[in-house]
Parts: sequence; structure tokens; C-alpha cells
Amino acid sequence: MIEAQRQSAADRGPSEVVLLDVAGLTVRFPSPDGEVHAVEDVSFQVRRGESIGIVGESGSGKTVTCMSLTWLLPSPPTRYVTGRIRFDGKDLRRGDERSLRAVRGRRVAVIFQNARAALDPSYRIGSQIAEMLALQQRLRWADARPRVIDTLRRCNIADAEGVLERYPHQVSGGVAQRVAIAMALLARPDLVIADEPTTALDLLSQLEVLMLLEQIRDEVGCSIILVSHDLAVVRRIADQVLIMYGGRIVERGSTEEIFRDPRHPYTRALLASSEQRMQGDRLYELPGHTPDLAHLPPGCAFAARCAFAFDRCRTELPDEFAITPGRSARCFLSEAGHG
Amino acid sequence: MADRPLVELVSITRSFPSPRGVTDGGTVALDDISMSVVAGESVGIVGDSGAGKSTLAWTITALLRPTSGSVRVDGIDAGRASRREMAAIRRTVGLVFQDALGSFNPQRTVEHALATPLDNFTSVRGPERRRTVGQIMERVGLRASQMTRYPHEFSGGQIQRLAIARALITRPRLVVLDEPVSALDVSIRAQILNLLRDLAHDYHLTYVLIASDATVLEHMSARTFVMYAGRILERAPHRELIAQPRHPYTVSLLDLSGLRAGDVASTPALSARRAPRSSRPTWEACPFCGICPLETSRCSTTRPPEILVAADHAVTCLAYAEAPEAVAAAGG
Repeated sequence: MIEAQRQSAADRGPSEVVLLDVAGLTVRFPSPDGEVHAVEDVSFQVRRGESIGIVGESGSGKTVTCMSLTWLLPSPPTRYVTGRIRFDGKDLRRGDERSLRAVRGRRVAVIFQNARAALDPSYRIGSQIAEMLALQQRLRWADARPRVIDTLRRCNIADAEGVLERYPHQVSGGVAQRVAIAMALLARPDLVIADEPTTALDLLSQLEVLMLLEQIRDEVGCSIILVSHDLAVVRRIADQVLIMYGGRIVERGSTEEIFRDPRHPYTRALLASSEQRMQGDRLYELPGHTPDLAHLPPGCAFAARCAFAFDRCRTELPDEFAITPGRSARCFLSEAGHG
Repeated sequence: MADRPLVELVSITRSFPSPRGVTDGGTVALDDISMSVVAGESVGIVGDSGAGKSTLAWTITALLRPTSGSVRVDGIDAGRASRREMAAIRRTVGLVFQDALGSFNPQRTVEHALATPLDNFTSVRGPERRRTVGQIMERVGLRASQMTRYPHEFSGGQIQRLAIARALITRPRLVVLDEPVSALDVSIRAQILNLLRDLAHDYHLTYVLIASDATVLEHMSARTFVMYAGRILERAPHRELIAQPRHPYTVSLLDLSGLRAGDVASTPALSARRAPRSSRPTWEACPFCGICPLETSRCSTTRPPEILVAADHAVTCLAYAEAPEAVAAAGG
């Protein structure tokens, strides 16, 4: 049934069918320091076969956004203030664990930053894959093993049989990440959420992981949400880019537009950092650090680090000003009539 | 001044046994490594993960004994150092660990962490001890008042600053930096790299800077060593290495830096490296064998010699030894 709805792998490029629709997501946590505003009023859509990049620094709300898409964070303590999530035309209702379980892992696969930590340290890799397949697809290991080995090989794991016998700590970070991707591939999901999958890997492994994601997308026809602190990482895969700062989306647009004509000063700073631009004889440096999400300023959260900030930025929160259809920036400099 | 190297490694080899139940003969993390670092001339070491870079960092700082070969730090043989001499080595070289957060005890304050090297290797005590901790914290861009906090209260960039502060507090002459920015957001990498440059200047530091991305070495490494599978495949002044890489592996490694610019050229060396390798290299073979686009029939049976290409530029490649023009053309 699901297979029938799926786009054929040959038909690449995003369709017009909306797979995931996130509206007004606001997520907060209690802390001794006051309530942490992790995600504030985040809305976006992912179409079938489309790849979205979510880019921002640590503490910008990227991971909490991703975890909230299938209501993965326990509540309490998490306070889901507002937000509606529709997946494949149906509301994903929070608390409806039965329906959520049918979606998590099977239709929405998550690849975490630290793949080794996502694997259970006390079981061999093979038995963890077997358990997943038994639960998700009611497959017996003996029947599934050839497909598992084939999938691991296609994920550039040469010694696939050997890896199945190993424990997670006995493989390198790059191999652990490839195992995680292979597990996602085996589930044949509709949506893959990859949260910083290339961080902490060397450049070759980074490239490999990105190419594997492309491979998943092309073979399975799934949509991808790729989360990274590095614009350069999402450039290769993403059709659309969302820039997050202080829990909000501060700029959105097609990947091509974001790179060619970044509007928000924060996006420009990310781009300059990513390209390691020089300023005189020093590297360009974005000063300061991300805001404290328990004490966000009343105005634009980036104002304190922004070279273009004026008085209004510090007192008033800018809207998402539309630039062209599907393209906006949460910055007064992008307000109609400005610049 | 430059008469005696700060660190001198002679034919270092280090092997580790395999985990129980895995019978592949163990891992040779360092395979006949020789290098010397003189004061005032920072060096870079670049290579993929698994190349042995961190093992080398631990060996240079005398935290790990080599299986064979010798390590001399400021003239002292680390393998035969007395307790007193070992303390001198610890004062001379500092290490910033790859996993900065993991290198701090979560149950101890930052003041405790930073003062421990003072207690162990200096006579700084009492109010002077706290003042020294405060000073170094200010110098790396933190506030002295933050010394009563615990490691988890700091961001990734701040933890890296603390790790640098701890390595510098005994005023070492040489600091080994193991992937100092790879765990950081790209937006704050420049803050740390600029800070390291300033500190090198102010404190007359010499760095051994380890990275998997050659662009990180750009403004600090005078000479760069390219490591692969425990061996040094090429060494050259950094600018020359970037401009004229000779080893096919170096070429493919530098191509990857194009990832930062968003496009990766699909050179033969790069596509070849994506193919999974079927077996580990033998002692005789070049470790890049089976992947290398310029491989000759002898590469799998003959340990490649080190060929001097220019003054201070050497490449360990049999194909280059046999036909330098051909390799240079493929690399250019």
C-alpha cells in the first residue's frame, strides 16, 4: 500500500504532494534558569522526494525541531505549547503512541549525530539490525540476512559479515554512521531525518555519508531533512534551506537563492564562516555566541551579534518578511520598502 | 636556538592488539615515523581518521610509549626519562585533546582542572595559583569569575578555550593540538583558529597541529606531514604541499577540501578512495595500494622509498620514484 503511494525511484525531484506539514511548532523545557524556549513558532513543509536542509549553530533549536516531528521528546518535562504536524495527509496526534509507533523508524527514520550512541553497546550490530527488521517488517533473520549484507556493502562497508559480528565500540565512527544509514535504508522510509550525520567525521567519510543520503533518496524516493551547522554540508543535497537561530526560522529559500543572495545577516555570517573567508590577515570571525534560550531578548535574537542592528532590532521581533514566493527573512532589512 | 629540536621522533612504530575474537593480527597505528619539530616552526599533520594522527599526538607528548623507536623531547629520551625528567617533558609539551569535553572531569570545577598542571609541575601555590588560572582564562577569552563553574556549564567553543588554557598554563614551548576545531560549529571555528594564532605569537609557541581537513592548517603550519595508515606519505612546506602535491593520496585528500566550497571535483583518486578496501595493507605494500590511480605492478610488493622532490619536500611513492613526470602531471 505504502509502496504504491511511493514515487518511483526513477522519477527524481520533489513532487507537489506535501508529505510533512509542520505548523506553528513551539517547544519549551523547564530549567532551573527559567523556561527554555527551544523552538518558537516553526512552520515548514516537506514535499515528497524533497530534501530540506536545516542550518544553524548548536542551541538554535534544530534538533528539538526534528525530535518533535514524531513527538519523540517525553512530555513532561517537554512542554509542547502549540503545533500541528500532518504526515502523509494525516494528523500525527501527540500521545497516540500506537499510531506514532507505526510511523517512527518505519516511515520516518532518524539518523543521529552520534551513530554509535544510537546503537545499543551490549548487543552485536547484527542482532540489532535483526531486531529492527523483526519488529518493523516481521522478517526472520535467516531470510533478511542476504539483503542486510547487500545493503551494508552498498553503504561502503567492505567487511559486512564481520561488522555484523562486532559490537558498536569495535567499529569506527564512520562505519557506525554507515550502519545507521544502512538501517534507515532497510526500513525504506518516506522521510529520513539526518541530524548532523557528518559532524565529527573526516572529510572523506563526510562526503561518503552525503553520497549515501543521495543514494537513499534516489533509490527509495524518500524525502530528507538534513540538519547541520555547516551550510556547505547541506548545499549538495538540499532543495530548500531553513536557517534557524534562537529557536526560530530566520531565513528560508531555495538552496540556490540562499547561496547566491543570502538576506539575513546571520545567513551571510554562516556563509562566510563556512567558506573560511579572510578579513585582512585573519579569518572572518562571527563574534559572540548563541543566545541563552531561557532569556531571549524581546527583539531579534541575533541583534547582539549583528553588525547591522539598529534600535528597533533590540526591542521588536521582526516578522518573516516575504521576498519572493517561498523565500523570506526574519530581518527588518528585508521588510518591504527597506533597501 | 634551532640547534636542538623540541621534539624528535626516530623510527616510531606503535601497534595495538585487536579486540578479543577478531583475528586480523592487530593494528599498526604508527609505522616507522620519523620527524622533528624545531622551536618557532609549527608543523601540521593531515590525514583521514584512522591514519594514526591521535596515536602520534599521544606519542609526541609522551603519554603513550612507542612499540619501537625513540621520542626525544627537548633532548630528553622519553623512554628512559627519570621522574624528574618526565616532569620536565610535561612542562615542555602540552596537549589539547580531540575530545575536549571528555578530557575534563565533570565533577570538578574548571579552577581545579586548570590548576592541576600547576600543582603537578610548578611551584605556583596559594593566591598566585588562583591568579594564574584567572589570567589564562581571560587570555583565552573567558572570564576569571567563571572558574568556579563545572565543564558542562560551558558551550563547545568555551570548552575548547578551556582545553587550550589548561594546555598553556604551565607555559609549555610546544603544544600538540589534536583536531582543535573539528567538533565545533563552523561559525565558531574561526574564533578558535584566530585565538591560536594570537597565542602562538604572544607566548612564542610552537604547534603540532593535527587535522583531517588541510584548510585548518592553512595559516599556522609551516611544514605539513601527510599521514595515511600509520605512515607519512608526503612532507613539504605547507604552501608547496598545497600548490604542488606529489603523492596521489595527497592529491585526493586536497581535492576533498573542495567539499567546503560546495563542489567536489571527481578526480580518479577520489572516486577510487570511495571504493571499499578489501584488505589491510601488508608491510611491503604501499598502504594506498589498491586505491591509487597511478599504481604500478610493484606497488603491492615493494615498500616505497622516500624520494626527495625538492629541499624539504619528500614523497614516499614508488610510482613517483619510477616516473616523476607522470605523477607530477597527474597531480598538477
